[in-house]
Amino acid sequence: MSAGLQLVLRAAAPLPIDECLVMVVTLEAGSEASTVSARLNLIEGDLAVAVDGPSGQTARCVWPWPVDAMPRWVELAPGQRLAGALPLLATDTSSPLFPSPGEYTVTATFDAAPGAAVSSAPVSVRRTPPDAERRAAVLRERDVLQSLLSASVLGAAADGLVVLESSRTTTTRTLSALALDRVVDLVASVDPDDDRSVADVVAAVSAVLPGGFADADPRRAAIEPLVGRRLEEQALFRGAPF
Amino acid sequence: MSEPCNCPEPSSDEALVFDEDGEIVRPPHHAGPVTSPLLGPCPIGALDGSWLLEVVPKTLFSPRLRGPMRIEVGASSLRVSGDMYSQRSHVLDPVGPVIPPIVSPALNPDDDADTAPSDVADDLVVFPLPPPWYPSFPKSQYSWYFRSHGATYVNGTLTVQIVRHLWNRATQEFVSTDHGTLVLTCRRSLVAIAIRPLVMQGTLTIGGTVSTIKATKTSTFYRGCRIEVDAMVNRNFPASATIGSGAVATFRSIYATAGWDVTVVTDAINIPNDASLTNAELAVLLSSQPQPATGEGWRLWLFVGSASGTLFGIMFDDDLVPREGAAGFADARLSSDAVIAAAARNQPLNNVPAAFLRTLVHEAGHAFNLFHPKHDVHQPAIGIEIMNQTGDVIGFASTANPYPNNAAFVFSDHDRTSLIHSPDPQVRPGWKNFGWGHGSLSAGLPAPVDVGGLSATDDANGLVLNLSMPQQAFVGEYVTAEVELTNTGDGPRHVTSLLTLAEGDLVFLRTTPNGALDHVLDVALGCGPRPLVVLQPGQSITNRVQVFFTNQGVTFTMPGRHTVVAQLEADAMTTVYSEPVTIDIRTPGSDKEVTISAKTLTRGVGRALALGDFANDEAARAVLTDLAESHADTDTGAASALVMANSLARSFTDFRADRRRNAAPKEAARFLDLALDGRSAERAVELAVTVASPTEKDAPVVADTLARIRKNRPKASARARAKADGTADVASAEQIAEDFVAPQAR
Repeated sequence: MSAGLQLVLRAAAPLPIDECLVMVVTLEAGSEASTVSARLNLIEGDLAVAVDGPSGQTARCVWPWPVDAMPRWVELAPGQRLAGALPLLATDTSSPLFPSPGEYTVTATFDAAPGAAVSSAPVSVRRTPPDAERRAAVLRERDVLQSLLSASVLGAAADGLVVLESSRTTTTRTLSALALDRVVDLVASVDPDDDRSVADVVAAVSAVLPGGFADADPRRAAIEPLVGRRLEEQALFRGAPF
Repeated sequence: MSEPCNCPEPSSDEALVFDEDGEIVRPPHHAGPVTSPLLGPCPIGALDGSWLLEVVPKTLFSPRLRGPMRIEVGASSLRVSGDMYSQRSHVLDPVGPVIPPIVSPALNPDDDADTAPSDVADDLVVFPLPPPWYPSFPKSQYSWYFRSHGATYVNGTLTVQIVRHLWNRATQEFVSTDHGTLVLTCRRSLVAIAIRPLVMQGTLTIGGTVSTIKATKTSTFYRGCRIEVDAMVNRNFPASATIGSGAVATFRSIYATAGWDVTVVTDAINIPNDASLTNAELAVLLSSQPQPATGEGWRLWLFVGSASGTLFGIMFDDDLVPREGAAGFADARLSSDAVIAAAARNQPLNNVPAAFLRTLVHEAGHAFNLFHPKHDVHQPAIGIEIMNQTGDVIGFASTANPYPNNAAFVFSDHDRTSLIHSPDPQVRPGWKNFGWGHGSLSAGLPAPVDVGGLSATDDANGLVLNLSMPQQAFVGEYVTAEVELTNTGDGPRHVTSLLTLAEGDLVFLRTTPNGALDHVLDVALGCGPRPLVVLQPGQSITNRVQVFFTNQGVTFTMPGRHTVVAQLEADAMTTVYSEPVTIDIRTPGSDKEVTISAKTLTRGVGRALALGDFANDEAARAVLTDLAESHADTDTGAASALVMANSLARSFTDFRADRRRNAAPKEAARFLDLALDGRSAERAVELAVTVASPTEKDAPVVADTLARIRKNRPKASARARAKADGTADVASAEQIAEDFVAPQAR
């Protein structure tokens, strides 16, 4: 079932620790068709990430809230891929995943089918010193991290999420807008012809409201007109193979 | 609530021996009758269940030490575990009997169709008054946990080798272990006596002391919990369901297979409709539920809601008081796959009671800190039991044995053992966060302590100690902390004003990333009378301390998460603890941080920063000068500048070498300017009071910093000054300086 499957983490550019990191991961079929889990996201429990830090410690990144869910399957034809997005913000205990600047190594593992786990090659990620200490402090707050992941405002996170709305990167702005339910404002602020920004919005939305899982969420509908023309972005947004 | 022990009962001189895993190692050769016609040893099965274990006080005012004990008698095994809670007794409140908690799952038997287990009567332990109950005490009194490491049962005497895990109330973690022996004798009349519960007497030997103990049986279950269900309109809690075997299962009956006495109470069933629920909405529903928590009985909120994505259920509560609520989603649909039972295909869970019941029991299991097997660090097998995700159970389904018929409505052995024997902080809703306790319980070996555990001190009533520290720092960075003591009571309190690490009343309890616990104090310790200050209700006193260099050397050299708790002897009778705060120590991340770290991690510089003076250490003087001149924009550079300003503002004599360093006021002023440049008045004085030694209330750096700030204040009328930016900053700085000399109640 999993013959030739490959899990690939896309490399990420260096990023200050006061910004949110979302990485795209793809599951690629080999020369044979495969029926695989379509749950290529952190929420439903088939995907987990290990992050080795500069101080030699390994952190585990999984969804902080245990869930029960149905399996979802998808058929990957030879050469086809399935894409997912990883919100790399917090450990399984809701602590910052990248607590300090430095070189990190990220490895993803996906239960593609019962008894058929597939791991990615390790990918280096460089986190640089923050541009704004206030934002970095906000991204160390447990309520804020959990709010960004859950796309809702938990505990005392509201003020911190507002701080993140003025972030430099589209990814951080998108995650905070989803949590604060200000998606309309976000869409209005994004240039639909700016491929990079559109790709970042799609990845951020897919990271916390993945296609196939949260299709009914109205915030996804608000984002949909923005989804770019590129096949991969469409597939990532819909959780469909391409 | 285990299977009855199928090994023969021992005769009076034969032993049942159980190894460290609780398995029988030497069954008796034959069974013999009890010789006494009226009084004899209890059959081993009578031990099975929940007990209240009490240490009999040696004096009238000894601490109360008591807690739940669970004895699990299996077909060929015997395991014991327990959680002990201690409470100081006061002169006006001598040790009295333990009063059963008011809240008991079994107090509401009408809430569920199931009845109490039938073997209650078989045990001849009949006590309808009080009903089965589960000893539960305030979390603040938790003292230690124990589990068996081998046991024998002979002639009615149970001897258990126990491993004790001591609990640190300040850090809320287990900190050390030791070993002891529990001996309990169980004899009972062969004539059943109604009402009286079974009682065992014996001794507990641990920490070099022998204590008399008493155990009273409270239930044939091991633990109990009240489940309070709320439901959204038109969504149904599945009170019962027919499962694959054809049997009828209920929430209660499933938990009973794990020895839990669970009572389900349905409260609100008219929560307004909302098609899609977020975690935040679930959290609000949990916090606004109308039933307030009362007593110490265990309780869990379970919500039957609409939908959240395609989830079946979620244990969403992972905040500061975690694991108090979980939810199942009635609108989530099963697929139309051939391995789903025909009647369940494409149906919402609301229409498939067995599947929905399984999910709700599963989510409650998370609230009791159980993991999915595939995510459990102990790596139990993935299978069809309750704590497997529905998706994984469906993986074992077939068209001949479709889901949910193929699901096992029981907990795996691994989860069952955790539910019965894991420590209260791990299992009880509202205590430790999800995931805690699935690694090793503690690190390091303990020094022997007495049976009261590490602490017999109660939490202080009416006083709250607050500790503030930065959430993170890099190795070598100057770190300060703020300590605030507040009177939250109704009357005035006389409390110490010595909020420093140098005078004995205040100490920081620090747990390092590898679990070691140490006491953090200043490098200079002073002794003297304890000056008291009167705190009126609502008033506080505050002080700031440096924790960069202490009796531990550079305090934070180990990267990772450190937990710090402040402990203050507020008066002769009262010890008050702060909530734990964490500080993430990281390696230096930029070139600048690397440079600073390389300079500060020397003993000489550390001592200078702690004492506020480089004394005769010329190497430290050079480094501090460099840090002050090159990095005054950082707190570490500014603290260095202030040490230089303090040192050079006064003379210093090395009597042993007969050398004198004269004061250099101009140089001191230059360093003071470096520290003040670009820094708020408040932060500048905060740094000044922390570099000054707490025992030197007249350290020049505090007065000089304040004088320079006042001098720099814009000249204007008092009214204009009041409006000017920075006036409030100066006022705050003045308060901080005042508190350094003598904390004032405000």
